[in-house]
Formats: sequence, structure tokens, C-alpha cells
Amino acid sequence: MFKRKPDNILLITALALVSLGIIMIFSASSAKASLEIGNPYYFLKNTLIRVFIGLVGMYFAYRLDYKAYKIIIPYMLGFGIVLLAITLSPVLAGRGAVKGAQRWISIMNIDFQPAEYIKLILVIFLAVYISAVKDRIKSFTKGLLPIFLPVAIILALIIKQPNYSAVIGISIIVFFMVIIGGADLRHILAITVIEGLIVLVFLVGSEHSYERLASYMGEGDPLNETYQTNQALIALGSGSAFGLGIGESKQKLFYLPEAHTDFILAIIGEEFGFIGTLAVMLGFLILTWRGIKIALRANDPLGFLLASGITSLIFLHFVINVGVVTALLPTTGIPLPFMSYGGSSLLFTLIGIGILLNISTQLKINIEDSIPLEKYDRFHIHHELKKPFREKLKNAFNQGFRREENEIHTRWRGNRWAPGPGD
Amino acid sequence: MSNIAKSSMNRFIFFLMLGALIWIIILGRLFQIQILNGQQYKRIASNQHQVKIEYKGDRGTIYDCRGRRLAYNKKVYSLYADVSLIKNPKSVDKIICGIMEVPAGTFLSKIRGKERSKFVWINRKLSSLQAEQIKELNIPGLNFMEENARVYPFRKYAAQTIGYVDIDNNGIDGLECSADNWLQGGSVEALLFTDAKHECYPLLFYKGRPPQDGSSVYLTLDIDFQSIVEEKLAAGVEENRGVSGTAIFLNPYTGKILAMASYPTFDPNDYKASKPEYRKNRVVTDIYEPGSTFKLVTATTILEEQLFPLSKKVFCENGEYAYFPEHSWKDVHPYDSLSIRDVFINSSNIGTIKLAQQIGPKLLYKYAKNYGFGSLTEIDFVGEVCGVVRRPEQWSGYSIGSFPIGQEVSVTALQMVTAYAAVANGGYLVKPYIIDRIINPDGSVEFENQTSIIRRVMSRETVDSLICIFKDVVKNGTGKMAYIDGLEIAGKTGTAQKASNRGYSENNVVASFVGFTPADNPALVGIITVDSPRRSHYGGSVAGPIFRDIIKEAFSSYDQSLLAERANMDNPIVEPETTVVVPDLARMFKDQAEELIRSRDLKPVFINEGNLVNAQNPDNGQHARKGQEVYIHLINKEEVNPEVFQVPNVKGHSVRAGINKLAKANIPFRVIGSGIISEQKPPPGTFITRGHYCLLICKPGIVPKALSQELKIPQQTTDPEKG
Repeated sequence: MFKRKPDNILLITALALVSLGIIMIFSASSAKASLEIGNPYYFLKNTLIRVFIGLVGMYFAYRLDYKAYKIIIPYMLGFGIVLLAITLSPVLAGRGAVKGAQRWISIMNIDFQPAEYIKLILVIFLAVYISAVKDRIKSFTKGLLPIFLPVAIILALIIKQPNYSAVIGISIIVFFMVIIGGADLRHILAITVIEGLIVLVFLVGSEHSYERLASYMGEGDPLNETYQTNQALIALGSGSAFGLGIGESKQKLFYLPEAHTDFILAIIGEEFGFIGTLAVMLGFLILTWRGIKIALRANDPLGFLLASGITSLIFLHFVINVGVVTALLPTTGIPLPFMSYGGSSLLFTLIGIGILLNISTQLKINIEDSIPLEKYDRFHIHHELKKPFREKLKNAFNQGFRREENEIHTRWRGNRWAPGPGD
Repeated sequence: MSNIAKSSMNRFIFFLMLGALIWIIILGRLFQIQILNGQQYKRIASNQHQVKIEYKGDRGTIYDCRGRRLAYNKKVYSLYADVSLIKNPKSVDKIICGIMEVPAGTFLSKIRGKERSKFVWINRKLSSLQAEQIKELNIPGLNFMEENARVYPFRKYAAQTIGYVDIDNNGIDGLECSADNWLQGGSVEALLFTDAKHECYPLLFYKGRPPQDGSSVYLTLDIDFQSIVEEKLAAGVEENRGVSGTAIFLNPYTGKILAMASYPTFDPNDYKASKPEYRKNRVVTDIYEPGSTFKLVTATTILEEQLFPLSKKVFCENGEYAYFPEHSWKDVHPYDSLSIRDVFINSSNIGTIKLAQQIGPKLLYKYAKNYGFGSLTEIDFVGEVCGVVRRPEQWSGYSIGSFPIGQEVSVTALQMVTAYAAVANGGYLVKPYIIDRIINPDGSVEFENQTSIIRRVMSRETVDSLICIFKDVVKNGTGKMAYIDGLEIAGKTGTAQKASNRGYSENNVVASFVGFTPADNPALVGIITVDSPRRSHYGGSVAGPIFRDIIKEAFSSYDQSLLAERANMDNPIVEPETTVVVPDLARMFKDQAEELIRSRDLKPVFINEGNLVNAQNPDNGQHARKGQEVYIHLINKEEVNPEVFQVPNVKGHSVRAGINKLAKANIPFRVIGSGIISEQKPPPGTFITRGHYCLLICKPGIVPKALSQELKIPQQTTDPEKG
């Protein structure tokens, strides 16, 4: 069924980030856990369970042909809207009172955040829709408007929670998708203005989010929001170049609230210094690069839109989170993908990676990347590995020369990858 | 890529560029925070992570003379709350207020308005039992800190003497305060790591050695005897419905104070519950007009100066002596004529006054000063006052009638008992003391007090006569109520009317009895004063029985070995006079004042700029240690309408001639030394205004002997009137 090997670099990078996340969650949360819960391993245990669930989810997403979403996505979207509606009902709502926001559904003591689910589902939905309508997207009434109906419902439900950071995140992702999908920029501009106005009205109306914004502008409650940001900066800064050493963070000892969730990067910066944050930055760079690569080589527009949507979703979360931690952005409740403590974010990020991996197995055959079919033969691989190193090197050289002489070059031709002169 | 439209591709690439730019910005920001500003944030971090804590050594223990602990430390637990962690303050309040034995709602009121605070004291110094109970509840947000609490096991006994400490174990009053420097342990600064919950973690490092514990203070006080004194004093004051009372007992030979009590008293374990005036150590901080007990001064003067034989008769005016037409002195019992002996035994005011009139103020003042009245005893207490004994030139016309019978003077109970101790020990004024020795934690002796004899007040013959009189006071005179069969007590009663703004009150009196026992071989000298007794007014009937009861109890039930302690009084070493009288510097120029002060071995310290003396401390007429600093406040004074005098030249004149010359020019003067005037300040020819002094500095020169005798040039003696 599979034509290609999945993108191992993507997989390894994602797993590396998750592993670093596990370590850092334990480091950042053990003091809090032992003091407040009486078990230093509480958050570690939960994280391991969630990672396991996430990996299972990723595997299923990997095994599910992405073209299948064309059929199932309406149901998934409908399910997501129902979930969002449930968070607003007092019956099933979980520990809703967290910071005055009803964001969770608590099932069997595991908090589930429908907003995280809906983000991914929306990306899939848009990819499926845009790839289906094709050029009709350029039309406002026939192409663009049907998208904004479900989006408006979803946004309204999320505003009601309220979870403004999710609203902004979803808005950005939706715009990204329709822009990539080829919508008319004038339509998009008009919608932007309208939606911006609506969001602004709600933002000013809500004390909770207004406070955050005001604190970023330097006029909010300094004890609350700027305190967090300052503590994050102190954590990052005191880590300096090489950090205090693993487990040596001082800021995690209750100076920095949310040390193991939204501000985990600050603890990484404190314990591993600039080296640590650079590693995380590079990790996300590699991840994004692989995502882009998959998108560009996808077999069909659906694959392209899906891969670029998921990649940009992860990148967006990463940017917002790091922006908050480095005080470039006002404080929002966006976790760092793969690394922050929180089940929903981890699960859907890993499912997203699973989808990317699935797309990566169905890329266009590109001679440059083509792998002879016999390589999938287990014995053959075994045989290859058994060859002495010198021979392997020789083969590699030979192959390289051969490619130079005979094979198709791809070259950037202003707007797209095109066959080179050797073609 | 053929399936991706060209425009889509362009847009995709735009987002790619945007993403790359954002990534680079973030990386740059991280570089800025972590590499460029790293050191700055490190500093901020260590500021908030490190907390400097002063570790104090344990406070020293206070022992009585037999090594019983009067004040020591106990480990207690102080409760504080991290309010942000407390989930249900109301139920917590309900539970812990009961355990802490405080009214319900205390906890709520302490945390009100501090909802975000991570450290709020709830209750300091709980017992370990209470702390255990609260700990068992396991309420998040409630934590304990271990502290030392000061414990006074004898509670009210000697409370004012021992004093008390504040919540941070700093001495506030009594010996806890005056010996604070010794009792306080050393302190060491430690750098701790603290988390945001103010929980401290293991030491980062110590600066220096571990803190040293405070030294122990051993008192001369005997708590058994003290308790007898306090019980009897309390009973006596209550029985006579007095307002307050004091008592001191000391060893007349050594000056060791064995008991020192003020009533009403308080419990230093909970000093806040008592009125501030109950905490005062009245024996040194309160002055009173002594009344008849002060007749000691007149009696001593007569005997020591051998002015009159004791058998000489004095006419006592039958109870009312109208020396001034508008003012008369009265006796309680009218007497026709008494011998001097009987004047003192029966405490006749009129007789005493008549004798004093013949003696004259100067001699009386000298003996009062020699007894230590008007000077600090320099006992180890904060807030000791010296009382008021006015110099003869400050006396009014009535003073010659008031002074000898103990009015117009004020003394402390401690001064009075020290004066009688001089009679008891054979004529020596000893310095009373209460700190016997101070022992360092390592056992070495930091300080050991010794008996110091200030001066010889009178001869043995005078002492014998005085003891004889005071024995008769108790046997036949006003002090009959203090008589004990089989134990001879010598003493004197005092009934001083308290001065109010409408003159001396008949009903408000300070009744006192001061005496020593056994009369011929005194082991114990003591004083009892009772303020405003209502049942009876007389010292003999109010204070006398209290004294008697204490002595009775002490000598029957009490180990007498302490009472028998004697200093070697046969050949005492009287230290050279260490005190001098501070001269009056009023209206003097700066250089004059400096010269005068230096001439008396004192150290002038000028405060403020100026050329004229405005104020001085200690005041004139007070005794000061040699070398002590005299603070002189200067001003620059411009007289509005000065009457100017030119200072004549008196240099090289004899003192007499110089004085004459100055007197003619109407210029007051002061003389330092004797002989020929060698220097004058201000120099001749200077203009000075009315009231300013001219200082004459003399050197021994060739002065005709007859002349110098005639002048009676003052000698450098203890006479406070020199200069």
C-alpha cells in the first residue's frame, strides 16, 4: 500500500522534542507536585500516559490514508462543534473555572480541550474543502462563504468559553489556509476587517483577556501577568549560555507560575541555557522544514494543503508560545507543542505529525529521492548493512557521479521546481 | 508541483519567508535575553532567590545567686500562612483558632487583604503541643518556624528587676535590657536559598563561624528571699489599701542586692497584659520625698561635726513652730522639750528643723551629697534617676525647714537604703549592685562585680551613736511596730506628705521604714515604702510591720548563710574620689566653659556652633565621674539691648584684689585654683554684657599667708561649692 518510507527525520525530531518535553516537565513540576499533590512524579506519570495516548493516535493517523478525510471530515467537524457546545453546558464541563474560562471537558479525570481538537479538524476540513472546490475558491459566494459558516459557529462557541488565544490562532490558520488555497485577497481583506472588529469588541468586553493585553501594554496588574513574563525572562536570562544544569532551575520553585505548562521553554532556557533554547528552536525549524518539504512534494492539492496547514499550525503555536515566553507577545494560554504539559495539545500535535507522516509516504515519485523498491526488502536492507563500510562509501560515490551525469535535475524556475537543463 | 497553482505557490513562499523571519527574530530575542543580558538577569535572579538571614545565638540565661534560672529560653513554634494556598479560610479559622486559644475570626482578620501574600504571621510562639495539633491537621498553606521564647519561671517574682524581652528577644526592660549586650548571642549572617513560597532551602554558605550563644548573668538576688519580700510587701500594701509599694534588701557590707521588689507587679511571660506602670522598677525609676528617714542627714551632721552633745535639750514649741508668720511647722505629737537623741527617736520635725537652722544649709547639703542623695548609684539598671537635692543657693526661705525633714528633696528608695547601709556597715557608702558575675558560654568569666566603696561618710563613733538612736526608734520610738522579740532591729520611719499642686497633702503620704538587723552586727539593710496607704498614714504603722514580717520570716525559715556575708570592713580600701561636681556653666563663654570643665577633670563636648552656653548636661550640681563627658549646647546670642561692661585687668593680682575689682565693675566671676591670678577670660579690655562671668585662673604664688587665710580660698575638696 505504501509507496514510500515515512519521513524519519520528521518522526525523530518530533520524538526528540517530546522526550525533551518529558524530562523538562518532570524537572519543572516535581517540586510543585510534591508540595501540592504529595507525589513528585504525578505530572511525569500523567505526561507518560498522555505521550502513550498521543503515540497511539499518531500511529492511527499515520496508518489512515489522508484521502479518507474527504469522506469522514464532515462528521469529525460536526463532532467537534458538539464538543465545543458541551464545554458551555454546565453538566459535562470539567474544571471550567480555571482562570474564568470553560475550556475543558473532563472525562474520567482526564481533561480534554475541544479547542485543540477543533484546530486540527478545521485544518483538515479546509484542506479537503479547498482541494474539492478548486478554483471556485476565488468566488466569494460560491467558494469562500461556505467555509466561514462552520468557522463562524466554531469561533462563536470558543469566544463564549472564552478562549481568545484559540480564536486568534484559529483565525490565523483559517486565513493561512484560504490564502494558500488561492482565495481572492480582496475578499480576505474584507473578512479580516470585519472579524477583527468583532474580536476587538469581545476582547475589550472581557476583563480576563483585556487584562492580559493591558499588561502587555504596561498598564495591567503587574503582580499577575507581567509577573509571569518577568519571571520567565529571569529564568531564561539566568540560564545564560550554558544553563544552570539539568534539574537546577530555581525559577521552577514557584517563582514562575505554569513552569511545566506554557512556560516550559523558560525552564529549558534556565537549565540548559541558550544551547537548550537553540536546540528547541532548531528542532522546530527541522520540523517545519520537513513539513514544507512534504507539502511541496505532496501528490495532490489535498496533501499539499493538509501538510502545509498542519505544519503552519504547529509552527504558529510554537511562535506564539516562544513569543510569550520571550515577552515579544502578551501572555496567552498557548502551550509549546510537544513539550508543554497538557494532554489535548500533545495528542493532536502528534496526530498532526501522524497525518504528515502518512502524506510523506504518498509523495510523488521523485527520482532524486526515489528508493529502489527492493530496498523495502528486509533481507536486502540486511544485506546492505552487512557490506563493509568502504564498499558502502564507494557505492555512494558511484551513485553520486551517476546522478550528476544522467539524472534529472530539479531547479528553481522563478515560481516552481522544474526539471533542470539535464532534463 | 504542477498541481499547485502559481499564485498559491507565491503565497506559500511569502508565508515561508514570514515564518523564517519570525524564527530569526525569536532566535535573536533569545540571544539577547540569554547571552547579552544574561548577567543582568542572573543578578536579578540571585536577588530574588537568596535571602540573608541573621542567625542569632541563644540568649543567655539569668540565674539567681544560687544558680536557679530566672529567665531562660524555650523552643516554641510560630505559625505563618501562605494565604494563596489556603482554600477555605473560614473552616481553617474555625479549627485553628480553637487550638491557638484565640477568639474565632482572628485568623480571618490576619489574612484579610493579603490574599496573594505568601507569608503572613498568624500566631507567634505557640507551644509545641499546639504546634503538633495544627501540624496533624495537615492544612496546606500553614507552616511553622521554630523560635526561642523567653521563659520566666518565677513569673511575677522580681519581674521588674529581671525585665522582659520583645517578640524578637531583644531586652526591653530591667536587666534583660541593661545586660542585653551580654545576654544577646552573637549573630551570623547566612545566605539562604528561598523559593517563592518563602520556604528556605539548605544554606548556600555561612559568613564566618556559627553564632555564639549569649553569656549567662548571675545575680546577687536570692529568689527565695525575693519571694518572701514580695509576698509580705503585697500583703502589706493590700492591707493598708496603698497604691503601690517598693522594697529593697541588700547586704550593707558588699552592696549586693538580695531582694528588690515593686508592687503591683506583673508577669513578664505576658508583659503586654499588664499596665506599663506595673513594669517599672520603681526602686530606681521613681523618686519620692523621703520625709523623716531623711533626718539621718541632720543627725549625721551633728554627730560627725560634733556640733552639739546628744543630750542637749531642744525646745520643741509644743507641736507648732511658727518661724514665719505665714508658715509654721508641726509635729505629730506635741513635745515641750526633748534631748537631741529624743528628737530623732520621736521624729520631731520641729526639733530637727531647729537643729538644722543652727547647722546651716551648706553642711547639711554636704552630708546629703556624701550619703549619695542626688547622685546616681550607678546600679546596672536602665532608667535610674538621681533625684533632686538642691544646692543651698537654690534654697528658698522655707527650705531650711523642709530639707532636714525630707521635704523639697526627692530620692529613690535605692539611694535611701544605700545611705542606711553606710550606717549599718560602719560608715562607708558602698555601691549597690545586682549583677554578680557574667559567665561566657565556654565557662570563662566575662565580668565579675566587686564591692566598691565610694567614700567614707562618717566615723565609727558617729555610726555607733546613730545605731544607738535607730535601735531606740524601734524599741521605744516611732518604729515600735517593727519590733521583734529576740532580734534587734535598728531603723527609722518616714511619713512624707505628698506634694500636690495645692501644697502638701495630709492624707496622701509615702509611708516608709528603713532599717537594718541585727542592730549591732547588721547583716541586712532594707527599705519598705508604701505609696498612699489609706488605713493608716504613718511609716511606723504601715511600713514597719511589713519590714518586721519580712525579717521574721527570713530569719526563721530562711538560710541565713547569705545574710551573714561580710566584706572586709576592718581595713577597707576607699577608692579615691571618682566623682566631681559639675559646675554651673550658665551664661559663660565657650572658652570659659571649656576651661572650667577641664579644671574639674571632665571632658567638654560642645554641641552646635556658638560662643555662649545655652544648656548643659549633666546639670550643675550633679556628680559626675572624672573624665565623664559634659555636653554643652552653644548658641550665638545677640543681646537686644546689652548693658556693656569692660573687663578690668586683674592679671597678676591676688585673688582677693581681683575679686574686689570685678565686684566694683559689677561683673560676676568664677575662680579656678588659688594664688595669683595668672590668666583671665575674657581678656582685659573686652566688653561683656550683664550676667556674663569672668573666669579667673589662678596659680599658687607668693601670697601673704594671712591674706590667703582671710580669704578662705576654696580648696580642691569634695565641697561642691568650690569655684
